[in-house]
Amino acid sequence: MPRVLGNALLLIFLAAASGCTLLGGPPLTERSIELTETPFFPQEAYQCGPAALATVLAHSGVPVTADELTAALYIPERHGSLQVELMAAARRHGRLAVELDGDLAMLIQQLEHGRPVLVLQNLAVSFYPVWHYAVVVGYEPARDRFVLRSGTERRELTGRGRFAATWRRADHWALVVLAPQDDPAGLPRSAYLRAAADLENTGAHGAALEAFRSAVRAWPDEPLARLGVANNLYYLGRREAAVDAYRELLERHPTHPVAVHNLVMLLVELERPCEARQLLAAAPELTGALVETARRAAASACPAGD
Amino acid sequence: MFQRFHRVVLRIVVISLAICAPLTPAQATIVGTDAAIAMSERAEALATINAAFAREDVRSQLEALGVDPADALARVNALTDAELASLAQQLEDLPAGGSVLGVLGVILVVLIVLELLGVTNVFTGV
Repeated sequence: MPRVLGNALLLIFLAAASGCTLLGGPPLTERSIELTETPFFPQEAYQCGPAALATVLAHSGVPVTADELTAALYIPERHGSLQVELMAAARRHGRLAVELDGDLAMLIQQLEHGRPVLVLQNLAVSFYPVWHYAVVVGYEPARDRFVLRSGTERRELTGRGRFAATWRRADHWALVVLAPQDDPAGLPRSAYLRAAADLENTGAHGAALEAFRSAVRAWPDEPLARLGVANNLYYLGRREAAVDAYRELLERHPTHPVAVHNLVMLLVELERPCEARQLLAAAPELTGALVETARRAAASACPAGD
Repeated sequence: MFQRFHRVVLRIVVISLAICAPLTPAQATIVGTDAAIAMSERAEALATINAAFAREDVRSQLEALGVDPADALARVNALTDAELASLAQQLEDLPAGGSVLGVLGVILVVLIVLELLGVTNVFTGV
């Protein structure tokens, strides 16, 4: 018995020691910020996943309730919901699920862009996790605390240190949900493109097209954004528009191997292989497996090379 | 017994679908944006054939964990190939956010102390 007690005291000491380092420091921002219009869905037993996702989805303009999301999210034997299924359910509603792994400053930045942030927390300790989803909607610098839609609390106020500790134990996992036409300003480019590509990968080509168009507006120099526009035009059956979009991408990035490959294959598919061959002949310096595949396809469909 | 037979049949269907998939003409010619991102990040290219296995695997795991079969099918169809691959390997171990507490003995004492020290958020957050 004394050994058990000793171990418990040791654990308390260690955890307290690590927790204390979180205290102190200036506030994260001067100005108080709170997205007061963010809706609230009080959580029923084990249903923090549907409640938190409904909160951010409704904020992004999807008329959905927590109850309607339960069938898409809840796993009865696990008494909870998985992170990737939250993202999948957001996509099923035509929204981008942008996964972020940042710090507290990133949270503030998203709030300043008017986006509530869904977070995973481990409310307990690493060896006895209690996983919980909540939505960060505000920060009060005067009291150095966050405002969350959490559980049955519409305005849960959690001090920075305590929030940071619970979030850190969930690997700082954060999710932002936005409509494809929304401006991605303030989001990491790679995370946004990943989310748009996930829409494409799951067959939501209309939403993916809009999302990549938003990415082109935000980052005009990003070839992957233009590639996404062209690819999704193709997937939607708008092949002539896709040809134009690939050409536009190649004007800016003449050696992009995926753009070359996809345009050549599309021209072959459109029974314009000689056009494809001309395109490749104009760029003899291009090499690589993708370009070689394209050269072979164009050469066999247009043997004369006229 | 029937369940096992059922699974074997499903496996065969999945395998044959995976083999036949490249033969379907539509949308087989261009490189998808996700693959292009994977190339640009030098990440591993996704094995799409494996995704068919993973899809069936994750679906049956979800059903075994109490998810309604129709829901399970819709749910796996909404996952990307990469998500399916990660779930197939570790669905049992991933965090499932739900937050209801069942704690006993020493752990409860530890949690109460940690809570008072501001390290955890178990009792106010649930």
